Amino acid sequence: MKNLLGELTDRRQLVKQIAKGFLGVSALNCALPTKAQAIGAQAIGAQPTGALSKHGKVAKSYYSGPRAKNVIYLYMSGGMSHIDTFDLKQGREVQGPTQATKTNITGLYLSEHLPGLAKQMDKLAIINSMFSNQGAHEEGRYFMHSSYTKRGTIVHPGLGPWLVKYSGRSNLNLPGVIHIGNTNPGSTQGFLEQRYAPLLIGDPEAGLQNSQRNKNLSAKEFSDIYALTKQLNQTFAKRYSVGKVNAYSDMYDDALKLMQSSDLDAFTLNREPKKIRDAYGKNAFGQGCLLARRLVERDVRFVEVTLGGWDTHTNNFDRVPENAHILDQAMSTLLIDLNRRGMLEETLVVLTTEFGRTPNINKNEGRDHSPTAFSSVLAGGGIQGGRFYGKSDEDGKFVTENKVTVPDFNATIAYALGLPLDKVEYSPSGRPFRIADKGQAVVSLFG
Amino acid sequence: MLKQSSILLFSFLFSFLFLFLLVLSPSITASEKIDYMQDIQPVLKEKCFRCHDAKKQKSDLRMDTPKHMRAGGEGGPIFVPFQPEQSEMYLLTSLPEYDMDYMPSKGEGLTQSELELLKNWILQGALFGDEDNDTDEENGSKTEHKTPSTISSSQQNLTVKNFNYNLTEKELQALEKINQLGANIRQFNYDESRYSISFRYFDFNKYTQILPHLKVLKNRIGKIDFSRSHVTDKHLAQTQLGNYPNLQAVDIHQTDVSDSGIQYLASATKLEYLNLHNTGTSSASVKHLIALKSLKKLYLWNTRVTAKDVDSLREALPLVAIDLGGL
Repeated sequence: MKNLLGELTDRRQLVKQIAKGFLGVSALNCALPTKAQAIGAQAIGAQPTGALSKHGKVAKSYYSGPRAKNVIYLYMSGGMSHIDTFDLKQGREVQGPTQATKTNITGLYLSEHLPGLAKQMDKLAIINSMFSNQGAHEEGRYFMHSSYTKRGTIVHPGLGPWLVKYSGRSNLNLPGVIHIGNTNPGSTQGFLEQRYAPLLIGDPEAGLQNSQRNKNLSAKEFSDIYALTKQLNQTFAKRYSVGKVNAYSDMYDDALKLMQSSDLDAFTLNREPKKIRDAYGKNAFGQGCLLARRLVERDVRFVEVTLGGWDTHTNNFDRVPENAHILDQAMSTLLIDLNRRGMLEETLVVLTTEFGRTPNINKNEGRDHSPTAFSSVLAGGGIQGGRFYGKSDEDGKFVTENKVTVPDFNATIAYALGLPLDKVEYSPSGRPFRIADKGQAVVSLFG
Repeated sequence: MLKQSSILLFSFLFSFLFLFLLVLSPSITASEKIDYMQDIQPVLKEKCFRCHDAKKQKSDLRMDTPKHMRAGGEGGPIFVPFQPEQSEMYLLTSLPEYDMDYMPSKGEGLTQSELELLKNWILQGALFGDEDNDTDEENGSKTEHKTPSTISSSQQNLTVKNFNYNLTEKELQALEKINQLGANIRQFNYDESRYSISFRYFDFNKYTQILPHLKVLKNRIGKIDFSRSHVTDKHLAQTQLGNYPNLQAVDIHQTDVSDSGIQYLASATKLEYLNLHNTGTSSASVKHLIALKSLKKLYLWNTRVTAKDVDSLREALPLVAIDLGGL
């Protein structure tokens, strides 16, 4: 009962927040004082007046600006070689044997290892001016996911938990954040409440484990036991009605809701036709992307799928093609599949990694860590595709144009989701933190 | 008699007021204007300059001149005027000493009264006392003073249409009712003036109850999302979409809606986005879809629309991007 009441007040708050325009453009404008206001003004500001004025003209194209509801975040763990994938250096010695392929946008080229994505180039905004100051895996992953550098005294939340904290769950039967394959450093709920914790699905084919009622127990017996447990806990719960205790019982309630929900069906990949399953690729990452689509379809807010194996210190030119093939097949199918369902409009697809790799090819035919210039990709959710943003130097070592730092990148994701970049959340020790630290969104990617 | 007592009362009140002022005076001194050169810089000199001055600039930060203070360091600005809780230089110095980020990292930390002083200085706007000179030299205060008159004159030439994004009390109540009845409300494309209403988890037995509230919000609704819900043709007939002048998107994908429901979409002439994927839409709907002159995106994968239908749609609506699925 208490929980029910809690939920009701939450809902009321939601309406109030919506009414106040808490997630709205005005908050964003305050958040992005310089770049955003200058570039973003015509993109977002013009829309309401254009659409609402009676005698006004009809907007020229279907709304441009941020409009992501959910995120599918593809994480390339180990440090994806930008030079062999999205930031080619044709004609330079550093390119090695990697060749280019034409995309569906005239004049733009991708690596030969990404033929599927090349055909979806019109949907992609590829950032080739990513910059990180973290050159080790663990620290790099943490920074990429949380926008803060790793330290011993605190754990920062990832973007998924921030999203659910600020804009809630749409489907109360399923968790707001789900990780497939791996939970990366910096992507957890951190110092935020336990209820924003991501759910980890280790193997997409195996689905959600232990979500069925034990066969030896009838539904009646099960609910009796649960009712009894609640009764026994009542005095304790009343006496210690504090955050952490409540969080625990909330988790219990959520798990029960999930067990009884028809949305559990989302985890059963066998419901998909073989043709579609094959198209995503017969591997954990491909099936993970398919699962991600099924989850986002059911309103899960943030799904992260991890593909490892990018740490190519040796045999770069054998291993990158292998990995790129897995990525290419899964991501290009995901984009087509989302698009034909009309979901790409409101689903932001992110591809990123902790850092790039050196232009220099080492004596083991490999490339080493290089965080000073690398690539990431955005698609859907209001992103205008068919373009490269930013540049690295002629060998791909340093950024030369439109540098996008890790916090900038995360601010761009948050901006796509309409989240308040300037809102300060205090950790239990009283320290102030923001979704993307001091990052500034690259607003021009939306128009 | 009466007069005397009133005088007494007056003098009594007066002395009370006087006492009250006396008590207040210490707090007045606490919020007295703090002078940067006199009050703040000596503290910084003692506690911060060791690592942040002309000789040494850890984290690219120099604190020995107002100019460098304003420039900040590697991590951006170190103070935000009027907001001590957003100001790095106050935050880091007020952390517990064991914290990894505590400042100063070497030597004695700031005392409680020094912290208080720093906080108040920021609260008062973090002024250095050189502000007037700055604006005169660098920004040209003359032009700045002129600006207001320019604005007012240009205002006269413009006819500004007043529009308030705030919801009326009635609209607010309708929103709350819609939420209570189980439909999901979001801002439409993060446009503060419009909403997207989703019926995905809605119990359609309550649909007739929710309709009057939708009507109250008719100017505010930018998107109606029926996708993956139990919506039927009957509900589309009841909705009267033509009454929603700002309705830009309708999503019906994966529902039992068929041609007899689609015909009611024809009145939604502002529609730009229409998703009919996995519905019973067939050739019979084409003539209704053609009426949607504003359409930009149309999703028809897994419908009974034929290739011939698509041809006639493309001919009538050449600017529409029609998606037919297929990998």
